Amino acid sequence: MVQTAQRAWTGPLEKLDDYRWRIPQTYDRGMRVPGLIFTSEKLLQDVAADQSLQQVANVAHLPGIVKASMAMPDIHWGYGFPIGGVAAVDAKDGVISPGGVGYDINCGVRLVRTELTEDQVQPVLKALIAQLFRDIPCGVGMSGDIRISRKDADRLMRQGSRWVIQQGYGAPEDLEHTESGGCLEGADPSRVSDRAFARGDDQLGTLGSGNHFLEVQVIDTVFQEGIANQLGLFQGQVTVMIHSGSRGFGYQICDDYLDVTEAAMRKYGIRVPDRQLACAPLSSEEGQAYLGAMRCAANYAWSNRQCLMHLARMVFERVFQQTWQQLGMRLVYDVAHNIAKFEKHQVEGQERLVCVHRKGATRAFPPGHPETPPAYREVGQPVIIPGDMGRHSYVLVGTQTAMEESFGSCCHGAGRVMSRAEAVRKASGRSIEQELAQQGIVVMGRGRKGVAEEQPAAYKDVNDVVEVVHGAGLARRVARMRPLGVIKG
Amino acid sequence: MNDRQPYEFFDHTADIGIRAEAPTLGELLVRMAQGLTELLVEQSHIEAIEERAVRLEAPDATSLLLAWLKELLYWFSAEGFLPSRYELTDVGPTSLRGVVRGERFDPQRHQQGREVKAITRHLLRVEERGGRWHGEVIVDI
Repeated sequence: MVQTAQRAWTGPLEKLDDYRWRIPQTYDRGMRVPGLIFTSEKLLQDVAADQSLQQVANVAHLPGIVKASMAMPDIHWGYGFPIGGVAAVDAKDGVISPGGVGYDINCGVRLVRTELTEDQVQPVLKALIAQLFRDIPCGVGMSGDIRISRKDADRLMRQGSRWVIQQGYGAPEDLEHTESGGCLEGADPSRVSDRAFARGDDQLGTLGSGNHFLEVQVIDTVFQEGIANQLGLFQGQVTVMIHSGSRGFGYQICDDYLDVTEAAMRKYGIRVPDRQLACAPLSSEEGQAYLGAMRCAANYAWSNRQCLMHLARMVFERVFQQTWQQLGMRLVYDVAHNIAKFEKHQVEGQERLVCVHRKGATRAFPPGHPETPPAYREVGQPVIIPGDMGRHSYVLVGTQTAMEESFGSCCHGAGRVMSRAEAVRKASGRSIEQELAQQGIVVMGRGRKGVAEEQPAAYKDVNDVVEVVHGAGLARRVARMRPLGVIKG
Repeated sequence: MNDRQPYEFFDHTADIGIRAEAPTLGELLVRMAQGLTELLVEQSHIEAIEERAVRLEAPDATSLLLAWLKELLYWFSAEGFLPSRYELTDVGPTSLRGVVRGERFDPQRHQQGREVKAITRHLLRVEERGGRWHGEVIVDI
């Protein structure tokens, strides 16, 4: 393997406070708004070493962008948009960019609680993880047992989680604790290519590979007992976290529409500094087509996580010989972290309808918001932040500050710092599985290199990332989980 | 890099790049395809028992590489098809035609490598220099 030359950021960067830095609009004549980066002195060093801050500045060129091109503390170098980027555009004059959502449309995380404690799970942990690994399809080239006909696919794309629950994969109560109820309105299957169908028809209820995982965890710290109670969480409680997205279906839709929007840029005379910021006016035929297809993929992803949760519940039922209801396996919440959505936000003192692109960023709505589910209305929308497989994950809740400053958004995870090749090199002669086993973490993965590439050291410390969003007031820490066992593709 | 080492991988923060050079554009396309296949199934042995025709057109050589790798990724992702032999008969900078032989993925016999989500346009490059063809592509993992 050979290193690519990474150019460090040499542009201006103004420190506003301990958690906020600004790229002034004057940096580049084409910037319509400034850049705003939520980070810390410590995390900034890695960020400034590559092109991600240039990408924040590039996104600021998008027609219709309002307030600022933002980046969360887990920012890293992406394609066009940085991963960890948030950009809102005016609903009337703005553009939609498939690259601002990403290949894995509605990649996201869900957290399931149980009434089990660590001491009840430890004696059967290995058997539990092995059973999850057997029953949940994961890894390259693996298809699921759930097959969908083209007619069913239509319903799934339009109705999302609601449809798969009707087919027996879960309970209606799960919908209330899924962002947007597990369904974006306006999904238009006629905008989806045959290739996307072909890639998606046997991947429902499959985990995938790369950084996707299913983890059994225990809550090791509760920061806010009152809020934790409201979410049904307590110290020593076992939880299950699922990280996956729209699989080949969504990847293909993104790819298809990168071509469509690239052509649209020429047609509408849109100029942006990077070809991968390809976009189309929201009001255009091309923009509407992408929105219709993207919503199909978003609904597919929620359905996928719903099916994965169902499979996990069935494994727990088998291992513990109780129903999932008896085990208290309720969905705490499901959040998307690659998505574009229409939302109302305050811009220059006025409420405006904007299209918020969250590319590796999580919605973090405050207490009292109509989209925060009734059970959580007093405490705010739960924000689920996965760590890496050797370190912690977090539950936070959204805040009014996020609403005012970041279009109700915060970070989405740890963020990579080490390339895959570097991770494999650093792991050479070691067994990451064994090292994690020594820490008491059971890891089962399909690919030989997958586990090495996803080792904890390849990521920023999620504790540092969460410290920034908590410190900046974008979300409040509620509880922290430690991994017990992980399955990976 | 030389003709004995047909392709190499390079780093990109979250993803992986494939780089190759070859005496002809056709050979470059084959080498890049071999790199992609190694990412999917490591160095698993792939039988050449199923045949597929391929015919692609693109505005330039760079777009042709993109279209070619996208086609192969689609075959794998939708149908589990893994390529092992290539007979690309007509290759020009804007079109290619030929036959690819291979077999379907079998988890009992093939190793599981990485799930390639997409072939990106990021830093995508194909050029002819000093009588040799050079190409680079980054795939999303």
